[in-house]
Amino acid sequence: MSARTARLRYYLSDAWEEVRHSPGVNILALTTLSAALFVAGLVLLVLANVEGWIGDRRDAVHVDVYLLEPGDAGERASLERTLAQLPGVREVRLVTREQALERYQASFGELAGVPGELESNPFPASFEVALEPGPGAAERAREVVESASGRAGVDEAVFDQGWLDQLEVWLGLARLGGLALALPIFGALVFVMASVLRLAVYARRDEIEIMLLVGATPAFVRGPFLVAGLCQGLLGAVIAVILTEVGRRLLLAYVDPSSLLAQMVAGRPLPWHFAGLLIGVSLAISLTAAFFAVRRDRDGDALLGA
Amino acid sequence: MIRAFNLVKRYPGGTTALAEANLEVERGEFVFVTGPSGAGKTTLLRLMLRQELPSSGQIIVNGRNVGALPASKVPELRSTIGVVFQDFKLIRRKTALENVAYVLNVAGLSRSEQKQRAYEALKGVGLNHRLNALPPTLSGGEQQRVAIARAVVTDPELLLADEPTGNLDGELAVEIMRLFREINARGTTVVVATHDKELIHRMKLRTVLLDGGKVVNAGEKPAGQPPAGTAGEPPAGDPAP
Repeated sequence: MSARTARLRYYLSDAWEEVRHSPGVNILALTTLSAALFVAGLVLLVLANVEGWIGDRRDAVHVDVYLLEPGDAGERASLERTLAQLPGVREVRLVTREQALERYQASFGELAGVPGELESNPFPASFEVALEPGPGAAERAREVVESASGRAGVDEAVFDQGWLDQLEVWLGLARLGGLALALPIFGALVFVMASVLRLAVYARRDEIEIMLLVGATPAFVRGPFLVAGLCQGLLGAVIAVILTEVGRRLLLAYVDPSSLLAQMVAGRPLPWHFAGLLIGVSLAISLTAAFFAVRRDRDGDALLGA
Repeated sequence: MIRAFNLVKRYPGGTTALAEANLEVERGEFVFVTGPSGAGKTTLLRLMLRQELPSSGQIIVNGRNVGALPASKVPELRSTIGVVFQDFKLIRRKTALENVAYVLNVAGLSRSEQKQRAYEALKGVGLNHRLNALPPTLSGGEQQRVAIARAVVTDPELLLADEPTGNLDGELAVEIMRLFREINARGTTVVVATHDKELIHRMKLRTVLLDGGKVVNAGEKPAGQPPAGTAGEPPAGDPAP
């Protein structure tokens, strides 16, 4: 067995010994880390779902071309052909007045009876112009609006996705705010973890002293604590990711999955890249904390307690 | 093996533990360092081990100027020195065998090599029948023998012992000294700090007397002491006259 292999084996076995020796301290550190990462996981989950939801809306770009009533069948057929030939248009679908009323009644259950109180169906017929999804779809939608506006038989052409732009602005601000908050939280978490891990180091000060006196380098003595910190970071992140998914499923069990809340908060699971981010951040926190927990004392000779 | 020139150690607050101490210990020697409490015995040993830095003067251990040694070289120095403490400093939750084997991790030995060498070291101090005993279940003398096994398992060139018999009664103290003589007979230089005058008298070995931080008597190597690495005196024999 090479010295390097023996050293690695020692780090791993001693890291396990460290956990076994101070279970309370290690559980406390793990719980703190997992809880903080769980909260971060929930934030990332909401962020991912809102982003996904906006993306879905963006992908489903369409223009509503409302028609004047009563309409001329020839005019409408000509308009339909013109719209279908515009660049980027995927489909042109006629929505009759009756279909528009049905849609309203399906979407606004409690208010479904309101139109019935009127003398006639208030909804106009329209063409729903669906565009090919992807970048530039919004620009092509505006071209459809320009082309349709003012044509014979057209009351109004509407591409109303400005609110999505607005929502994205808010989402960007929320991301920046989250990042600004994440840094001090990261620092605080490192401090708490380091303090907790320092207790574990203190509990083993006799062993540390002996190892240093028999010629172990401070790096050698630090090794098992850093390995324990790394394992703790990995475990903490995995626990947080699992809890986030459990939380998501619980929410879906209690809230109608087709509701806006469910879609914007828990419609899709935490994406892999966000899970990876959580694991990376967790490893960075625990490794930094472990490093500070076993840093040298000011005399440069001994570790804590030695 | 050890040379101290005008060695001074002052602590913050003005206490002077060592004042212009000069000392020379040859390779393979067995030396007692004695003196009243506060004479500087422990400080001298701590300086040899680079647990402390001298305020002035020099201390050379095995060719290394300990005071000027960069921090990165301290582990190398310490890997050539074995240490025994009055309070044994054993890890309570590890067995006797594990306590001795544990320090061999530094040498990068495999687990089986560690156990083999730890077994040999414990056998050398007569404790091969208590390998799996935890320190609290061992007597004081047995605990100190485990500590000695731990100190010598790395084959150090120098063995430092600070009041190793301070917690042991007379007969056990003699037993421990006999072990030190055996180790010394194998070529290891041994320096024992103790205030036990009776023990020193019985051993009849070179004794350095410290008082007020000064070496007031550097002692003389007794005519009968064998040169380094030779077991001129039966190691298992009773050192008492």
